[in-house]
Amino acid sequence: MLGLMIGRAGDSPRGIEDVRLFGELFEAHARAIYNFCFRRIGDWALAEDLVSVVFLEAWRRRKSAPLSEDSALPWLLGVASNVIRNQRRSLRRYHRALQRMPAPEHTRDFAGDADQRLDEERQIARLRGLISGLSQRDQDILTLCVGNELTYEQAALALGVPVGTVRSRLSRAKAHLRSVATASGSAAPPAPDRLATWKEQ
Amino acid sequence: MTMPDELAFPPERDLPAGRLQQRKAHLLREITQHRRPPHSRYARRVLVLVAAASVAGGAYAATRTGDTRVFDAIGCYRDDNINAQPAAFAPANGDSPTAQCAGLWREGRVGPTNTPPPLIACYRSGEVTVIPAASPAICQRLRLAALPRDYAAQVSNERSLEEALTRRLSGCPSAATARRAAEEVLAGHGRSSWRVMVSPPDRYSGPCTNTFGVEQANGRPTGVLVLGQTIRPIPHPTPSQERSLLCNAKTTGTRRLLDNIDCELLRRSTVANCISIDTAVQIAARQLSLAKLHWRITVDHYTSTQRCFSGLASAPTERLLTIITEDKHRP
Repeated sequence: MLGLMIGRAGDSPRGIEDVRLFGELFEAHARAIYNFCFRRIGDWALAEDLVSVVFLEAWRRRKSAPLSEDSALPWLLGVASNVIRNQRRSLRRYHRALQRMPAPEHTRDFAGDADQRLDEERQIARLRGLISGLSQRDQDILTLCVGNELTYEQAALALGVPVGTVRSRLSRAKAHLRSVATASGSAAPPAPDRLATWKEQ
Repeated sequence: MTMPDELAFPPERDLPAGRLQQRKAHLLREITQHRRPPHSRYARRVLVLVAAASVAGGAYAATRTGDTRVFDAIGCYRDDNINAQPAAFAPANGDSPTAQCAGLWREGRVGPTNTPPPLIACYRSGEVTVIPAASPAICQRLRLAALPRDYAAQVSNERSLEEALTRRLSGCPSAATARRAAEEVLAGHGRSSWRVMVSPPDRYSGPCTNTFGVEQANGRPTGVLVLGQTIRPIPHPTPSQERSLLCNAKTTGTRRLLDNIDCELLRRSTVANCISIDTAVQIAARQLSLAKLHWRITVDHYTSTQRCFSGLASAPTERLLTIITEDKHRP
């Protein structure tokens, strides 16, 4: 889909057709990006803004996008990872665009599960505290592989690193979580088992 | 098996009702009506050094944004299929990448022969990619960047600056302390013209200066110190703690087998004892054999200097056990 939309490098696709396909891409992957952003920053409201920023940034970089449908999501997650890493700069860049975003039209559902959202934000804050000793890149790998259930290959594609790097860094992240489990006195240290099984499904 | 709450990601959720379409409409409006993104006050790119992991034994990560360079490792490829894993890795230490990979070819660790073919070094995010080819045009054909001519100097500068910043920003320095430290380090590396500023506090700010980013502001490199949350030191587990975790794990089936292998390897691991890859392979092979499982065993090197057992990764559907390595014994 993305390949059709963006054309090959060097092309300069323009026009309603490109935009329409980009809209389809948004519908297909906004949810995954939304959840990835939340897992990395722990704030549902900001994650929603970042979804817009990620797709605006993806549009800006569309010439460097991969050409197959399979790699569209990993590529978008890679864009999201960069956006989050440079969050302040990204938000600054698209500040005006975000200001043009109309106020939410539907608030009833949001209010209805506000408590649950707050619980989830607290839950993710605890988790982020536990993995804060990892580098940003290792946190990305952990979130992509465990949270978004990407394969090693997809995570490598998303982050632009070799597959071996994903493997070894995920291993290191797992080792770190073992230490977290030990330090926090978890009765049943879970990380090694649970994290190792994600790829075994 | 479910993860305890503190180590579990919350379940996925949809965007709030109506918001997906609202955001989509906004997005399409933006990209059709405002083709050019608003100008950033800062130019893109450049080095971002993240010292957030300075807690855990001074661990440190360095990355760069956009298309700027970081040299994590050199990947030596058997052919121009760069989507495959490199056959071997070499450390990015400033030596000639093609010479380093040629050495690995001669050791028989890359290709089918011990005679290295002509090699070309290209670059892609974090990796110097060395491919058998006669012409540098291969980089462009594979949509890779060419290796910078001053690669060695860049590596040397980068390593030196990283090491110095890591040392000075480790722990939880205040903004004022971090600013002084960063200015001293930059001046010591010939970058006294750089400006250092502290990022304005926002909702994510905390008392620790744990990020040092570099941007171009009006053509002048500017180091941006970012205030982050308190970093709680988390010690690495001791070997005995790890043994306890793994050897007492209540698991069954394949997981049990893998734990057995990991556990046995860890039993032999002491502070002074690096388990060699050969030993790890033998132990893994014996355990697989005892379990009557016909799996393949591979060794995953991140760099060619990694000669000690670090951990296991498994792919039961492929019947593949991967032994992950590290460059020294466990702490």
